Amino acid sequence: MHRSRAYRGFIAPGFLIYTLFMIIPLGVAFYYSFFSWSGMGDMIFIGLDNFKKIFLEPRMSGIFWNALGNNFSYMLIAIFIFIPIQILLAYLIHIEIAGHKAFKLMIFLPYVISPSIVGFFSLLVFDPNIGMLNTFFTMIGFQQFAGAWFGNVNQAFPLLVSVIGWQGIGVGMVIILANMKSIPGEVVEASIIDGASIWNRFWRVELPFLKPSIINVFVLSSIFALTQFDLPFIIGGLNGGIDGKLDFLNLVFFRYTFGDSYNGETAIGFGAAISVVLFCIIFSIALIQNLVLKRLFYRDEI
Amino acid sequence: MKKVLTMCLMLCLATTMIFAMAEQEKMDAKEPVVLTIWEHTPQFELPLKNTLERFMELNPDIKVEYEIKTPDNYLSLLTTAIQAGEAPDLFWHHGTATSDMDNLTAQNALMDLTSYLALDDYSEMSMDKVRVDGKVYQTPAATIDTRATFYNKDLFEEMGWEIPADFAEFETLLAKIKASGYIPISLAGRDSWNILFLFEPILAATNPDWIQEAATGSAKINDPRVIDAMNKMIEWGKKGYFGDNFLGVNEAGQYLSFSKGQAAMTVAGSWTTDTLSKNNPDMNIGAFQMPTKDGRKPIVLTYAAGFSVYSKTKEKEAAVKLAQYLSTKESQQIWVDGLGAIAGLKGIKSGSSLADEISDANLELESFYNIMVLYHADGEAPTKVWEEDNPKLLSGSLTAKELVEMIDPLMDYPNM
Repeated sequence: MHRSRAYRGFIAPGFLIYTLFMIIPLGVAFYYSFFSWSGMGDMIFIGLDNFKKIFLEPRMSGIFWNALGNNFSYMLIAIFIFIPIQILLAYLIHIEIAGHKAFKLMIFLPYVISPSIVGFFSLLVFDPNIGMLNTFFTMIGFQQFAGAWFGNVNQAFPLLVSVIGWQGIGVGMVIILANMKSIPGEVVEASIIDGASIWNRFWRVELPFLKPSIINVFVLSSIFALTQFDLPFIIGGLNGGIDGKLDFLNLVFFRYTFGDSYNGETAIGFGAAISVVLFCIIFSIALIQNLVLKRLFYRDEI
Repeated sequence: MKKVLTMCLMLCLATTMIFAMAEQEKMDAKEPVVLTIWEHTPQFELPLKNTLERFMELNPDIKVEYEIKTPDNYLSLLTTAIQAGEAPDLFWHHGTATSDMDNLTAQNALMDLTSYLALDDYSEMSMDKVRVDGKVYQTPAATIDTRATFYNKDLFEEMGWEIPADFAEFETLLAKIKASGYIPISLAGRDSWNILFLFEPILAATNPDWIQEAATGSAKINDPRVIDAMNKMIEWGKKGYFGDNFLGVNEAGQYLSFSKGQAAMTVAGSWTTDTLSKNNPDMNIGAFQMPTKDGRKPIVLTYAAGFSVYSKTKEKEAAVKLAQYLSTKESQQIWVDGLGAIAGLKGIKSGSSLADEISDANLELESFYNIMVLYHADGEAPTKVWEEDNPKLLSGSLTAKELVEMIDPLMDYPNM
């Protein structure tokens, strides 16, 4: 009996591209992580020294854990605060509250603004000397409310998260909204006829239909949180803001791998080690999330 | 027969002439040699463009194309290009100011220019940036980078404030400005480089003797004099001399609050002259060096570095010609003018009157940052620790003593 092998031809292009641009670079990064190498010159094999430095050297491990902590804090905020807000906003638009079209546009619009421009906006709003916020407080006689904002160790992180949320919350909302639109009308109508309240209708009828989009937004938000770079870099600078409050793992990776504009020292080997650690963390979290979410949301089908 | 021979000769002559004319036309229409040169920041685009235009006027057979990169990824791009054997014919790098020169020479990526360039007029400090083991690998630059106290001349005149003659007067001036409701010095309190450019003049004004000793490797970084200068900067921050919320200000905010007239002064690199002038063309900007306790005017000097020729360039002759031109006084003058910079070579005039005010000094000192570069031990760079942690001095999460004690083990002092 001849078994068709046509599928090989179908998966070959994707497999080749994935191997070329994902698997090979990953393998190369893993290989470099065992060397001391600036990007030029001799590569000196140092075994696990780069990893020891990340986890055991007091100063570096402090920087690493602080940055990872910020990544996780942001991830938890994205999951437990942003996703419920995204569902709520999507629902409000779905039930077509007054002005829902303008509302949708307003929420989604910041997403199309580049992070550089958002960074510039944040300067215009939050700069302690020339920013609109402090100017406003001073103008109305409430100078005591004027602050350092991104220079305040207690406010910097929540502010950054708010700015990221303001810019990106519309994406998840649109994904969930698209899912809401696909809920069969007759199911909702049946629940209305059966006398379900708005809350019950949402919680017991519509929400279960949103499993696919919520899982997607959940995983995407987590990966996005663990790969934060642009806005923290633009707003907080390469060194991770005041007292490292805006430091994220990607920033640590960047400044140790490529140096900066003045100090051009590069450390490709050490940077590769950071990227390997980062990959392992993201991969593990994505894997755990997939398993847990499958059990939680699809347990009936399992 | 004679006719046939004559005809043949005529034909040969005509053919030769036609071929000769065709060859001449080919030579006339010969494509110019094309060189590529890389710069690391848009800040230097104008002087580079002006310089290259003049070079191409003088050398019509050479066309130079420039590419301006961004500082954040310049070195990684250059490194990759060299690794791939496709680096530009000429490129900028930090010279000996960082590990760039060591890395690039170790890779044989730089052409030895010693025998090609006439560099007798350049100062030793300038040449030190481009020379390794007596060999020149880069064109030196005639511009001096320094730090300066920029001030709002009109505001000073209106308020009756004077340029201080010594450090005590400078501190009195800060208190007076603060009392009048203006920010004495605008500072990007969360930007480690802007903090450095303020700290270096404070160190130079309060303890110039430490810099002189440290420049020869005879004084340690955890010296009480360094701690004293850091504590002075912290004290000014606590007194509100940088504004009430300066920890939230970034580089752009620092310059804008000065340009908008909220701050009476700002302490910054000499290369910001152009930025400050463009931010507010109507502002009458002056500059001076922060004076020492005994009234001297110290200036923290760092010489810039120019361009190296790629060792594997396919257009060696043209590339060397460009390197030669880049080290001439004419080229340096064009560069200094384009940048509005301070000249560091006899016979070259500074690019603006403000540059003259900045360079009005009588005590030349090495940069604190360069001292860390010059005398670092193997392993982690002390400059990295300084860059990451100096904002913590002003936020209060690290003391001056704690910071220098972290940096000291990473240093290797040759004379101690």
